[in-house]
Amino acid sequence: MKKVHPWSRREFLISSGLAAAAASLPLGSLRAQAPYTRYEMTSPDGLRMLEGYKTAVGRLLAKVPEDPLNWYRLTLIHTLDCPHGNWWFLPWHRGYTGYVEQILRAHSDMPDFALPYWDWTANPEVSPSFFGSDNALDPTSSNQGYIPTLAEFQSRFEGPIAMLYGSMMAAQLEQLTFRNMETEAKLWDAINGGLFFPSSEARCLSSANPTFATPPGGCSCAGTPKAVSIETLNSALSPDDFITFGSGIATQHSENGTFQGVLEDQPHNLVHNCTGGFMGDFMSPVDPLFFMHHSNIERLWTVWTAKQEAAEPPLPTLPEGQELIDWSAEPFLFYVNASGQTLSTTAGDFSTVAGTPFDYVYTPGSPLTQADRRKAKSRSFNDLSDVPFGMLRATAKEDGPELLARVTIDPQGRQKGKSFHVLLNPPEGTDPKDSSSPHHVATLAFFGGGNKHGHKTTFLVPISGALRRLKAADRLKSIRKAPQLFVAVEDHQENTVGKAQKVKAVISNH
Amino acid sequence: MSRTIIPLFLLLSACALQSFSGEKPLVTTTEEPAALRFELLPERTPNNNEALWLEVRVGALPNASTLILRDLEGETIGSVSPYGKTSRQAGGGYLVPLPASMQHEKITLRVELVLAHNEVRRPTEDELEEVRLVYLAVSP
Ligand SMILES: [Cu+2]
Repeated sequence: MKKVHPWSRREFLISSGLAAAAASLPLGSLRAQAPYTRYEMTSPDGLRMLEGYKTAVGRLLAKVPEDPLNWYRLTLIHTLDCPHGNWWFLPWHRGYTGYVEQILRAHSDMPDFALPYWDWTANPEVSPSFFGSDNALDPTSSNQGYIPTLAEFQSRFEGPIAMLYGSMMAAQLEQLTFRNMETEAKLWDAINGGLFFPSSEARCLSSANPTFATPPGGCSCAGTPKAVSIETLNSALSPDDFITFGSGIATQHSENGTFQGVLEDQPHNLVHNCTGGFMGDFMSPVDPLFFMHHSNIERLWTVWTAKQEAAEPPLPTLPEGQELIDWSAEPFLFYVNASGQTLSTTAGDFSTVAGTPFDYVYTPGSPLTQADRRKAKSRSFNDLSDVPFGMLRATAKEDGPELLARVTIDPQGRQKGKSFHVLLNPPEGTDPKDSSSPHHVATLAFFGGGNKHGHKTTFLVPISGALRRLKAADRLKSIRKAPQLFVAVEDHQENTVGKAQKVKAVISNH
Repeated sequence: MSRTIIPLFLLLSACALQSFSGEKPLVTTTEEPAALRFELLPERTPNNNEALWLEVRVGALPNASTLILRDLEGETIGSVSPYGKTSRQAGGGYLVPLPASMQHEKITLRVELVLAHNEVRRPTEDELEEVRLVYLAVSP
């Protein structure tokens, strides 16, 4: 991938004092958290994200049409390049939603913004967050910057679309010949032929009738409740190979593939068509619901990939052999980044989330596994002192639940050559370096980074091991009154160990 | 794609249809006023790590229409509702899972075309070209 901004994944190392806890925890929880979380959109965090989304969409709608970050200009990327009905459906939309997410983040006033997902299996309806005349997430509200008529769209975008075509590379124009859009006149034919919807028809589901099962008259929702049902979802996730799961082979991404997989042809297609208006055709990203819908499709790809990896022996997560080579090489040439620059990428750049510059994880959604259900029951506390002592005692049992602390470390200058000892109520005179002390929880260190100024980073630290060792040493009672985490900084270059300082840390059980 | 397609074909030009081999009639169709009813005979019961699904091949479908596949009780099994005008006009193949209860014995399906404003009619032979049974390797 041609990266316009150099991007590096910071790696973290947690050492010593953790061995016991590490053995009983999935590897993922020992890594620092991915910086971005895509939440279910009706959860408290999801609703918070939708507020940032609303701000960002409003700002992108207000941009001039000459700006590649204008909301309609971002939509046109989809109109000009989206694959449907073939095996590039999934990677193309991963790239598209990922770059648009970065653009939205830059306009949301939320540094942790990530696209929440629409779990239509759990919530087969448009959430109230997407309705209202003063709401930038409602495309029927023309006072928020949505263009009310096709005539107005034509007059505002004629010039910018001509400029866009004038600036295209030969390789982009070649791609457009595959979908009969290689001239601006042909794109306009498509737009005028039914891709644009006036305000009153911009979405079919309404605040009075938002559900798939009881839509307003005139919406195309037949079959949609079944298409988003848990049975269909489980079927969609069941295939053992990528192509059956993610739609059939084609020779280029604007061509119809040999068939559509169930994820695409049931929930994906029917939610588009039932929501209606813009969502029913290739200008669908005009409706902000598009990104919540595709965030869920993207999530389900990660769920399927995890299923394949967990199989014994593991099943393939991508096409194989020559097919993988052909699939990976497919050019995606129309994405723009947050600086408005066009990127030259290929499908292979989006074959795994880890390989992209997006770095997000999902909170669990449908279909929930047993482990997810346990997690859903998990609780979190603003600080260790808020955790009931009974829960600490339960955690200290051999088969007790896991308690995780989110410890934020600010290296305050150079991060190299420093260790951060996390301690639980250390008695006077405890040596912070002494990992054999039952009060010693973990030692955190940054990996690499040279002498550069380090950034504040949050580590997920299991504290169950320390609680078990305190119990074994019969010292659990000593933390009963005011359980508290401390951090002491050890500087290996200066050969000093600072005094242990109290830290606040959000605690959650799993 | 690792799957086997059984040569069971539905060609909608007649009321009684044969498999490709032309030996015994494996598929029959009945035209109801607002639906097409037909039977498919699976070659065998799927193995443990297999599922029996349908591959539904359609031609151009009318704007805002949805092809609905139902069981005899009228329960929806799945649908074909192409996204976007281009796909809707192009036609193509759509995988539709069969429920666990329909993985054995004779499979009877009723297919109807739901148009805008919920008008329902029987699909034409140009709209519904073919339905085949496919065995897929699956895991939970
Ligand atoms: Cu889509």
